[in-house]
Amino acid sequence: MNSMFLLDAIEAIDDIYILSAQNRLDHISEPPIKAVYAVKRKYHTRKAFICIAAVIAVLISTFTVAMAASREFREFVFSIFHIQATEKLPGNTDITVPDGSLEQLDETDLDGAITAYYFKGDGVIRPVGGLLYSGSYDKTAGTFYDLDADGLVPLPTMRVEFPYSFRGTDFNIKFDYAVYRGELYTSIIPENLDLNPYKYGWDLHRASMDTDKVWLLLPYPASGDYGMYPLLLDIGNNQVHDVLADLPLDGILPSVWGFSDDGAFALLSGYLADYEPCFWVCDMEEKTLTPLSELIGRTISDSYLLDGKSIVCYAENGDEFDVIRYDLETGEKAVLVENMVHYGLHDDEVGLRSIEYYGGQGRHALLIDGTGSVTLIDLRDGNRTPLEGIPGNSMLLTSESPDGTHILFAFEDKSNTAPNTLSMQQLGVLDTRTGILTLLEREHYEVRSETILGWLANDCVAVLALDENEEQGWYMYVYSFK
Amino acid sequence: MEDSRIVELYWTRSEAAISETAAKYGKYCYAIAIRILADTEDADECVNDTYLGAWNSIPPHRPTILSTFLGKITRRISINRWEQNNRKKRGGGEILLALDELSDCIPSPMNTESAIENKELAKSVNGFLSTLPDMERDVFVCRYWFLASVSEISQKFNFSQSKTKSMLMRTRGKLYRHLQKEGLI
Repeated sequence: MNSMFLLDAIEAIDDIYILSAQNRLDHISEPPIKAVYAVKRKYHTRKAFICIAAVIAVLISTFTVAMAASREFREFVFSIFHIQATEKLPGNTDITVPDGSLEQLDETDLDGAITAYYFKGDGVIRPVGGLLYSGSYDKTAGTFYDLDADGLVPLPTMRVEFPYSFRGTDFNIKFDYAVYRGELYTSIIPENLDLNPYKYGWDLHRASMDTDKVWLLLPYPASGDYGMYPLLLDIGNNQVHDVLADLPLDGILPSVWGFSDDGAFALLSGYLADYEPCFWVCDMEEKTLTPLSELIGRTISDSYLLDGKSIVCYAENGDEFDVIRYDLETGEKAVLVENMVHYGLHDDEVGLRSIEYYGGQGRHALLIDGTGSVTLIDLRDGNRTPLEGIPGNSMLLTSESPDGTHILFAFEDKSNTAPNTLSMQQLGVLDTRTGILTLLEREHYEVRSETILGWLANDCVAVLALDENEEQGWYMYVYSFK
Repeated sequence: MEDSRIVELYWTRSEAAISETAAKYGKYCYAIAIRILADTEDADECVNDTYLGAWNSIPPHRPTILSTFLGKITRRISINRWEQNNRKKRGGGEILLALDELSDCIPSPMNTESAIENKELAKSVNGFLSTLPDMERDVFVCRYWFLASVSEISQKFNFSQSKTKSMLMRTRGKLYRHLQKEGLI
């Protein structure tokens, strides 16, 4: 028997299981939307010019909700600020934008609370830690941009290229980078973006403890899983350092990893022979490896670095789990949430929904119950804030800003079955410091296929929009929340 | 058009059955095919073959859930096409990764004599799925029935990719132990 035999057998599973999963993939009838990278090849310039008027209905409702009396709730008042101004999405245009560049089409102030910028571009675009990277298919270096009051500001961008061999596989390491305000920003070049990094390609990850260095992640298929082995690359001289080399990794295949801010500790994830996931904390100076389950005293089903100083652990508790924060320096443990299930597992129970942060999990999480009521929990201190008036059941995406102070919410219109769109009827950004959620009601968003591109700053979000009827380029909407 | 009406059109051998199927389920079938094949031309052909397959199967079949009936045909045809392409060294899509992952559940190669009946294995997999929590089962089916990518599943379930991979890895481990317990491997 081989795995194809098993894949064949899975074909015959009960319809009820297929339908259930199909409901999860609620846009299953459409080809998958590329969530992060915008890639659209250049075709012939389209002559037609389709104007789309966007008229936004006005929803006037600014209200304040008192916090519940529980002492674990924060004292500040949480409020929702609905934008009343009309957003006018740009119509299609036959402006030809050079491959790998961006052109601003419009800029609109919405109630003094949001500035919306509209761009058209071609080639490849991706957010990189608060900057925007735009690249092309040709061999010239791309460009990093910062967005300020005057619009997009191009930054000096350099390219690194060198061959590297790892465990019998040759890689051509090629990426662009910029140093801006004391930070290093990198982006692998466009032709690598289409590759699956776990199987064929490689990736880079910011090394927070050293701005001259970057983590180079190289793949190694390991018994059906796809580990990415971290090596530290010095950009100044292209020297690659295997910082895990002296660790006792015999029999362990690290597949997910993270380092503390100072690089003194690493969180490794992998699995043992019984296929149970296991997590280890590495002391990088002492070169020791300790199972996280030993440090916590519980079976750990999931774990990730919280803020460069502590770890969040999901400790098994029967069919449920508890969320525990573990301080890497002091070894202190704090139970943040008890007897929890993942949101959506049981419709009538309170479930935990994590908030995305650079493809991982963020410093906040949401408790949502069957009625859709939402409570925000800060995983650093366990504080809870009820978010009344937020429709948790319609929550499509949540994402945390680079510094963790702002949270993006995208709410979907479940009745909208328009193809190729995430149906982002409402976009909102919550400033966790003030407790104000600024909410933008949207209309006619379905004219293009949209997806969240990412954060351009701690209060600035980019949305990518593609029009299937337009043969060239893509649109980007940037919302800067004040 | 209601599914029952479409099925009725097949039974009456009305060619409108094909156009109605294409209108209602064309994109659905295409989404399944493109994940497996990663080639638009091949995916289009497999979707067209799906309509032909449905035409040849109804009657005698009278599917109660038309979407999964068509989806299974598309999946089968697309996997067959992928195998043909793979022999010609032009295979792609999520299936290659899914096959690698599923090799977790079948640790050692087995010869033809010891290979069990597909039907028996399917029954066992069904029983295994019934033991899983809803969300874990949905993630497994999204990955290995719909061949959805890890990133797509993560997006739909609001999981990090590492969490999705960890969940899949654990489910594969459970399946391995289940198949072992049932004496199937």
